[in-house]
Amino acid sequence: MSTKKVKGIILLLITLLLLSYAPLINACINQSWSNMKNVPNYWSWKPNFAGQITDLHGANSTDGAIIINSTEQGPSWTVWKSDVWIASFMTKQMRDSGYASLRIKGDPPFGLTPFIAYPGSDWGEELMTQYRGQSFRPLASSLWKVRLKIGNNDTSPQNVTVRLHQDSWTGPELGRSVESISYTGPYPKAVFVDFVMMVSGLDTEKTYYLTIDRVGKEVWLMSRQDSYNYGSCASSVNGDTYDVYSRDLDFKIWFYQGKTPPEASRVQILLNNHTIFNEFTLNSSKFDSMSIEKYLSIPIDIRLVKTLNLINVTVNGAVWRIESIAIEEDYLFIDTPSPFWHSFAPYIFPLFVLEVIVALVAIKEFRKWIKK
Amino acid sequence: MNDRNRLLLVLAFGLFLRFLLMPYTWHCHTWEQMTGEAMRFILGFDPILTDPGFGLVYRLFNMASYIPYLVLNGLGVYYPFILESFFKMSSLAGDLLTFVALYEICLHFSKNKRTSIGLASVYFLNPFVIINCAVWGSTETLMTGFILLAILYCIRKRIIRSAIFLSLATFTRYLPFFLLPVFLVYVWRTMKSRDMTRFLGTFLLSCSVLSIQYLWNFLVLFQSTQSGFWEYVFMSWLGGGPTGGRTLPLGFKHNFTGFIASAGVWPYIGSFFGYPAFILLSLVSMFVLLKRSSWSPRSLVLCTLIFFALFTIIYPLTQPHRLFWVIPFLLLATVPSLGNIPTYYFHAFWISNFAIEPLIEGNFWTYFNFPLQQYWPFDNWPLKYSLSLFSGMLLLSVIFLCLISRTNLESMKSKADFESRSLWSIFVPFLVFSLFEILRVVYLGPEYYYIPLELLIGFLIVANLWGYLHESKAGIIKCQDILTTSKAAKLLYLLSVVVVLFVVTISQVDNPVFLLVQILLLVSVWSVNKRSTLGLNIQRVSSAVTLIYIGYVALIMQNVLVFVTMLPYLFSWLYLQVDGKITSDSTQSS
Repeated sequence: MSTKKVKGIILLLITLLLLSYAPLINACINQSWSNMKNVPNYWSWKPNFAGQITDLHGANSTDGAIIINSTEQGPSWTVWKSDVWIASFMTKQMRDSGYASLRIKGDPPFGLTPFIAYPGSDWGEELMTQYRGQSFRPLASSLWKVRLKIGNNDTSPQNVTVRLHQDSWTGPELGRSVESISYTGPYPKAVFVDFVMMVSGLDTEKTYYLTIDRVGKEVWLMSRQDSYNYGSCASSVNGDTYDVYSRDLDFKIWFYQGKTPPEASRVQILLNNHTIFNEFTLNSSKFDSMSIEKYLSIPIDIRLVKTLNLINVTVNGAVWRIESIAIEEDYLFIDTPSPFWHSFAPYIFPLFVLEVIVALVAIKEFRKWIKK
Repeated sequence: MNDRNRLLLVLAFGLFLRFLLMPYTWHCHTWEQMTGEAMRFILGFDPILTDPGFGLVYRLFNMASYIPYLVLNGLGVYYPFILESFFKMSSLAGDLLTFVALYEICLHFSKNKRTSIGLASVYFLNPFVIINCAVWGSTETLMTGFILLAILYCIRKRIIRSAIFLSLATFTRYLPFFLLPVFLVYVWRTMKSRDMTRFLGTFLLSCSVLSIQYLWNFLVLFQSTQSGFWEYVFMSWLGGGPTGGRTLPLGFKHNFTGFIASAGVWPYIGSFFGYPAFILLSLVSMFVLLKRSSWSPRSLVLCTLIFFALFTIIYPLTQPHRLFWVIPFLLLATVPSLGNIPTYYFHAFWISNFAIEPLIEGNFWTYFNFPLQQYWPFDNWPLKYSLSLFSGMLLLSVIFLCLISRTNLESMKSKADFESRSLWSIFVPFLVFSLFEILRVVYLGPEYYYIPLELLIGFLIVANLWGYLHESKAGIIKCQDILTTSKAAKLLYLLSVVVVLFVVTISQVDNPVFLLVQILLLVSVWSVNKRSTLGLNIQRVSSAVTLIYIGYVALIMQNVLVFVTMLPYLFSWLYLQVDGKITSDSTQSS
């Protein structure tokens, strides 16, 4: 094949490529992302954030998908699981029907501890967000409530700002909520803070972005331990095996269908079915309340234990049926300085020029290589 | 068509496919990467704590993806797809680097431009590679591209460049740091001693420059919590991530670990997987390789291949994008004068992994709904894990083939002349073993803690068989004896297939499909001795299908007897792969 023909083929490929971009260019010209609906949806592997569920706090899913059904026959969405994911949700169907069912699909079985936000509960508004600057599509409501889990080992109050942006996380700001946080106490070493902002006139076809900033001393970090805590926090039913990494743990035991043991029960947590790992008499102070769930919070220092095998919970000597166990690791809070690119916005144009120069040099070198 | 035109066409077509897919495909892997970097670039989070395992070079490439997008933002353009597409540019750069390096290294060994273009094209036009670049946007190829360039310049005795590229690879992902000794020893043995000092000096200087931004953070981290600091350094910074080796790897689909965990034996042998085993085995493997072969450029390539192949097999959390640490080196090892690994190994490897996880899942951390997922024929867990068993066994075979030098093999083969041994000498011990297993399961139950003992017994039987076949004195065999015959291997393989299928049958799998598959397998296995191309291909396909089938049955049945009888089969399967390759090499050379 002659060089001329090769050049012709390359030109043809470039033309085809440009033609294939026509829908994109059209969507850009019309300034409407909804035009992109013409693109077949099986190309959209990015999760659709509208109507999704969950705080996957404690999720330890390693396989399969998590599907949320508003009703048995209703639409389903697969949750995009992330290691640092905080969210609440309510679909239109849920609002109408008043309940949601959670179906966990996938094999082999995995543990999951969802916080299901029922309509009317304290943090179940129409919102799907994430605290690191995440996009979502609103459903209808104008009331936005964000729940954040913020670690805090500092007694001084901190200001945290939640901002809602249009188009991108650097786009026009639509709303803002500032909360001052002051929390001390041994357990839990994290505090939930709700942010509420009133925003009206949101377009359900558009994507919005939420960013969260903090002012003053940096007190919450998504440290590795933090993200691990959310992402891989062991959570399963009786008889499972957990790998423990370090430090003190905070056990949370969810009882099956909310059936808590009677007060004054003798509770034992067994390791490997014979070693008594923890033993105590149950009283009301042992229970803590979080959302609608009742759970038993048991802080234990097990820094010397590396692996927990076959945990069983017995009440008055009999194995008690429980929903799940979550083990939270302690946070690691380190106030580290931000890296040099923390605020590189002022240098964007010089960097861009530099980048273009580097790219041109690279292309030149590459062409030289081909010619060689 | 001249070679330059051929190269241009390959490049143009590969780039066309990538650019076509880039803006139209959004994968949660890219999304995760993008939001993660947003967390660090926009919110200013500490990258050491939020995303260990990636270095400054990775950040710089991602930052370069951000800048044009932010410039467009300044002009009032806010489309996220632009940012998503830009985020795949790092991967594209990695692919191009790998393409160039593969071509040049292959040219060095083969001295044939057409062969080099062919090899580089197999990489650049590979669907798995294209999807990795244009859909996932994974930057792993950037690291492999830098390593390949380091190897290329080392072969060309351009020490400074080689050291710089190795440091760039190290600060993309920290794992290539472990390859430093291999490079150093290579330079030391093949060049002047002062070259080694130059290499080390340049590497350290380059690393210092690349890590200067982190030094202060390290100090603060160390002052805040020493235990946290060391945990960070040892467990995460070296590229592993927090789950490596310490969690139940039920969902890990690209090496043995998911299979083992699903078989229920992870608590017993799980401790053999993870960083310590990987480091130890890679050191031993490199020692064996370098001891057996003289120091040559091929040692560099093969050491790197063994290093990443071992990591893929042994490290529990092997994610699909990490397979790209192996793929370019595996491809390179198929060059006859380099590794002479059969080409079908490469194709079997990527196809099996593609079948396990094509487009429908993100990675270990992220999941999403893919509308066509329900139609994917391999989307059930026993099949996925049996495919991963096959993929793992392939890599194990590759490691063995890399470790064995041809000269040693030929001398070993000359000693072996298995012609007329009685079949009974193989059959009877296996029969006894199988009977023992059946009786044990019937009367003692399928307790898992017998498995290590059975593994030992099974191995001893196999080893003794080989020892007996080769008439070693007093039943003591040398390791070399295990690699000396082909007919014995084939008989043993056939026998172990029969035993496993027999066990499957008596375990009451009353499914006519299974029965049909078994009959087909038995028929195809009989073609082992065929020397025609068709026979050889049937043999390859049957050995792949048999392994996948047996793994699948073992998983769905959860029958300890099948697992136990699988062990001799796995040994003989591996042996057959290595031995078959050796035989074909000998035939060709003679």
